[in-house]
Amino acid sequence: MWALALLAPLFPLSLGAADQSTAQSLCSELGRIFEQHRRSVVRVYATDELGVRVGSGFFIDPSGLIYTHAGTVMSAEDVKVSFGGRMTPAQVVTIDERNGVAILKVDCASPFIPIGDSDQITNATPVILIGFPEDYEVSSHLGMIAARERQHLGKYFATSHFRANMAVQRGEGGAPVLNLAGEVIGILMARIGDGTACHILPIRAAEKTRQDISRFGELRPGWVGGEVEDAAAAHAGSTAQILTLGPGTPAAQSGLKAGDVILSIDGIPVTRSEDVLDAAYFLTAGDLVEVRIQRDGETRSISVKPTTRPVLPVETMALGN
Amino acid sequence: MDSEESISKLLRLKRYEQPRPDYFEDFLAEFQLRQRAEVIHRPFWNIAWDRFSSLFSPLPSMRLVAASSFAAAVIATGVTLNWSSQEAKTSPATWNLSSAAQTRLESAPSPFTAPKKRVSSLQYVLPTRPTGYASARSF
Repeated sequence: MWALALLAPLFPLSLGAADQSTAQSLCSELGRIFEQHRRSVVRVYATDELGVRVGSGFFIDPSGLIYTHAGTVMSAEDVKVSFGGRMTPAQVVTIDERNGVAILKVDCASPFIPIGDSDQITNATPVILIGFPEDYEVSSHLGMIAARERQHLGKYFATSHFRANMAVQRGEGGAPVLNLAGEVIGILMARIGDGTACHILPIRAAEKTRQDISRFGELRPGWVGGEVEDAAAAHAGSTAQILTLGPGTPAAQSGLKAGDVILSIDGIPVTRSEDVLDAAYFLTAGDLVEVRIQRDGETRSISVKPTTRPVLPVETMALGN
Repeated sequence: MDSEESISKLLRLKRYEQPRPDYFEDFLAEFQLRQRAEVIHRPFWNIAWDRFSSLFSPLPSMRLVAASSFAAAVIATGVTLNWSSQEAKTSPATWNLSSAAQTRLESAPSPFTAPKKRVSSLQYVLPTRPTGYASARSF
């Protein structure tokens, strides 16, 4: 008894030491990730007739391919990237207005950040951003994924974005967002409000751009030509009901009909009309996709070959510095 | 003849006239000092005019041409400078060095387009929202 009484006050001390150890371990890991990947992050300078825009970007492969923010290089006459203490001319490979990503290329070997799986990111996942805020040196931020969002202030995104509680600053548009394994899971696209939170494009959505360029040398966003709405009642777990089909569109030619309830598109589950947003984003013109539907109580699969998505009005994107 | 004799005497006299021994040592340095002093104290337009008019000095009639050319150049320069400053006040694509606050941008009229004014310094990019489509339920 005497021995237990003497040991009792030590338990809180032991727990405190454990907490401290965990915190030190976390700090050490964050520092390691930052040091490992800071050299893969670049500052992008884009000059046009209005001046010089400055953003962040990062290498995604060892041959000098860079993801950055489309708003930085759009309409630029001259693009340069700064990394490793030198300034290098960069070529704009493509600008994807749908997701706001631009791909640049510099002619040199480069370090790079491995691509992670953004589909595995759930709410409350801690993330690290590495970027160039204003004219400061490369810096890191620690934040947390709050949710996946499809819209902001009533306006839909082209595909869903992460909303993260993380302070961001001007000049960091296009910066990589990493998980604790040191893999990039998203790209900083926009700040929310005064910059204490932000929207992050999942890296899988950016990879769609790179895949199109890699396969075809151009962007080929797919389009089927249907409109959906939410039905009053769910059928086979989905309320996403086809409202209309444009005449002569791939949807109409494939055999889809108004009133069909969509269950999945190309393997991506659909349970309500908003889910079509993400499913449609990853369609590629010319690639056959399977659309699973519920019609007259029966589940069917219909193959559709999307065409190139027509140019749709893109919402205004404020560079808002 | 008298005048010829007086001139001959004067020449004989001058032949034996010599400056101080140190005169030639400082001659060049002193000459340059005086030249610089004259340049400093003369107004710029006076020097420019002298140099400009010396180009036409062989022909006296060309002096008038030189004067009118110079006046025309001055007037043209003045008009050009005035026009440039007026354009700077009204043109959307102009540098504005007056305030760092000019780097703050308002919303743009089309995707990714910067506002139609030239910013005073580097414009650091971080938009207020991502791109989006008006119709989200089409596929």
